[in-house]
Amino acid sequence: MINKANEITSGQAVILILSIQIGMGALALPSDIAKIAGYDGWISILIAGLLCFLITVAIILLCKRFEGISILDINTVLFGRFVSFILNLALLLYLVLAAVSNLAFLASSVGVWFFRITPLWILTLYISIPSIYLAGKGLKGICRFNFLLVFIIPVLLSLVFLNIRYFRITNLLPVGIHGMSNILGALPHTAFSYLGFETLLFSFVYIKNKQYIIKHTAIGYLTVIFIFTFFFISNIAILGENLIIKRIVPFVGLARMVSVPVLERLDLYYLVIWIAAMLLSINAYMFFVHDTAKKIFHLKSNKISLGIISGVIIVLASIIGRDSHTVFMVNHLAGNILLFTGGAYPLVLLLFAWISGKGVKCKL
Amino acid sequence: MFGKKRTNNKESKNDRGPEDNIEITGSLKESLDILKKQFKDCDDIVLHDLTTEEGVSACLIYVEGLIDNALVQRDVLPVLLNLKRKQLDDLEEMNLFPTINVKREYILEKIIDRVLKAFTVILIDGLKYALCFSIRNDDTSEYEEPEVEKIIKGPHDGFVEYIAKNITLIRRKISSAELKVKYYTLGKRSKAEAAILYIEDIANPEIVNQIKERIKNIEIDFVNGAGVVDQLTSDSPYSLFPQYHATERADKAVASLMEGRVVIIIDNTPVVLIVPVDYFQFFQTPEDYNISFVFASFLRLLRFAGSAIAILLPALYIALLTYHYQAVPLNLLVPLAESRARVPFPPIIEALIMELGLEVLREASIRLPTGLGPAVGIVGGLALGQTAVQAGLVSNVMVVVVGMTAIATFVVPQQDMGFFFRISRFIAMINAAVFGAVGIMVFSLFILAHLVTLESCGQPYFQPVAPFRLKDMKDTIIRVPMRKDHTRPEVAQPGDKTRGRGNTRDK
Repeated sequence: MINKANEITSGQAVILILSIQIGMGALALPSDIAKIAGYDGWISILIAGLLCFLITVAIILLCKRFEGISILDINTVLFGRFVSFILNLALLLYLVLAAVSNLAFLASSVGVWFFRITPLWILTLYISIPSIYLAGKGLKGICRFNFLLVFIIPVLLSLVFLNIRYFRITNLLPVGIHGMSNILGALPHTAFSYLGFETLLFSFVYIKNKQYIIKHTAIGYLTVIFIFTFFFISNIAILGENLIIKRIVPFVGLARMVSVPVLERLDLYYLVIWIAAMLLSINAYMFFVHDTAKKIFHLKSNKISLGIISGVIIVLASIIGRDSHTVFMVNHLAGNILLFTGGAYPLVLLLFAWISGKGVKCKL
Repeated sequence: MFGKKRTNNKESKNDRGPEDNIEITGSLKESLDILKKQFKDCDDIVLHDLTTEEGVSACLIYVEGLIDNALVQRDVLPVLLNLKRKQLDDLEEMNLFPTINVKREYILEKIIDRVLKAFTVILIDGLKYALCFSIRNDDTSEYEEPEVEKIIKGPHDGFVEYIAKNITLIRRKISSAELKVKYYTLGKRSKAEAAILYIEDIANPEIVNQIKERIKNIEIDFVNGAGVVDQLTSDSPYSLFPQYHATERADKAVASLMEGRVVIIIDNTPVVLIVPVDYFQFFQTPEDYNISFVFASFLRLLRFAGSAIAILLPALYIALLTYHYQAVPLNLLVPLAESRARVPFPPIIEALIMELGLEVLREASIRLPTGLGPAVGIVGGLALGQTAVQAGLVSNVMVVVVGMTAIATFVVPQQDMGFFFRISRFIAMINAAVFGAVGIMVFSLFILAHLVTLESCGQPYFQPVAPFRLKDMKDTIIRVPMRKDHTRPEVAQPGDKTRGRGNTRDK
């Protein structure tokens, strides 16, 4: 019996994925890709988007094959109790890593942007209050909250329009000069930005109307691919490839260039709004860590377990977030592990299920 | 063939129920059975059995409060009780009643309409028609417009302390047998009456039952007003947001009933409770529907802007002056710095002094006699504010900020929501003082997180924004023209989702 507070619709599950992808991914996306594929990175974005969509479909196929049970139980069905316990622990660790690396990145960014001398653990604790509250309230609340994304996307796009006078399409020409090997080489980095789709592994069991999930996922991917491509192209066209590569977060650069009458330093407002965007992904991961830990260790008390888990995440995030070098290192490490968990792991599971013939026959 | 089919469809559309066009047979029992079924759960409709001196059974049917009891007792009952069996067959003999406007009705549907239209109806065993007397109680002088919820354009009647009169007021506005009234007794010692009102074919039965259960489960010695019921039965008792819409306006209650919501009326208080509610409902007034949609939308946007100012303006002032002075336009920064130069306190202390002063002033002016209130307001607001600036305790800009905040609080039409603004303003100020703009953002996100998880009778409080319902957005932040608004909002999960076609000429 699924707790009503966790029951979501397929549209909400897709919004949840989009909010993680855009909240975290859009920020560092242009510079990461441009370092490898130059201004041709938008081709990588399109290809990676398509690949990630296919992997998401694989996740859906896998979860539909085992209707009504969570990924943790799928592991048990496929591999037995002992192996599945280790696999589930690994999944939990991966979720913790995702939550910690995102929170550390957000906290250190806030530290750098606003509070250089405030101890990081205070910032980390303070920023994660809404996420902890939401994680305690269930997935439904998080999905409703992350609908905020719809209002954040226009903010992101407005930044481009406010800088439209610097827009030079020549910055993107001639197309394909960086070569196919570089464009393909940038795929893993591009895929980092699409991460968040793997949460479907955990959220699928809570979806009420599973029949629409493929359709909604497709719409979701079209949206995110469009936004990423548009954002990348406009970043390059406005700032130029050379400038983009030097910046860690080109978003801030764009925000600093804006000047409008009356409001001075508009970048401040943009940064504050972006804190909200980044918080969306932390909400989701905080919930999934808590939910998975509760299931693995059969925890009963909601409040105590949430307290311990959020405490661990905050402590780890504030240790990692102390210097930006560690943050980026952990982010890249997390990205690689996440790519494996999100990409390879469901494929392996699906293959294994097919071969062993376990699970019900899937229908699309 | 096709023509026939079309006529059939037309007929079925106009078909209003099995009781349509049923003529009364003369058997009192049969008629009463149908009427009792129709008036099921209408506790305010009285079916009073009588027997004449010769032993003929009769039944007096009326809506409590809508008729003039004294006149019925004086002019109708004595004649009725003295009726002889042989008189029944003679139509002329039935004109004995010394009242004007007596109607004979032969069809049950018409009889139901008459009862609901404030007629006193008499059914007599053996008689193939009902006698309907228009002895109405038209005294509406008691229903005055509530002081705290005034509007300019629209009905000006409000609830009173007495429960039966309040139910009558609603019954006057909704003449339908579908309006159900269920009485309960609250308070082990006070035994106060409470009533739950809903429209059966619109309200969701699950929600209605849930509310009935909650009212039944109240166990307390006495109920001191509607607020007690609110606090004892709300979904999240620790939340700062009102989870019942308390109102003294009858038009608001009626509009809510029409949206499928449930109205709870408690004896000895003019405040009725509406449930389930959503956040955006607190920003709407009945006036919005009596004026053009353009003005209504403008007023709504104004109220939302006012609420943002009421919560965040002092916090923004503190954040800008403490952390982000570079974000203040240069032309404004200079006068701001000049006005702050003589103030010895940091912005948070300055803001707290002024805001607390304002709250004290407001509380004091409520307690004072009516004549003294404005005087204290002038002394407190103008004289104290001005001298505080001159004495260098606070800056000029701070006085402007506090003034704007106070005025903005009054823009919101509902007092309970106003309480939330007043409290949360202080929390926002403290957040801003410690974490600047980030503090304001985190605070706002926390409030949003709370709003999206809050529920009223199991229905999401922050709908139709989260969960998003495009169809309901047409009457939320703005209001679309009346002719485009044909559906009821989803918040009460209504059974009948359409209001009607608006203007049939448009189709």
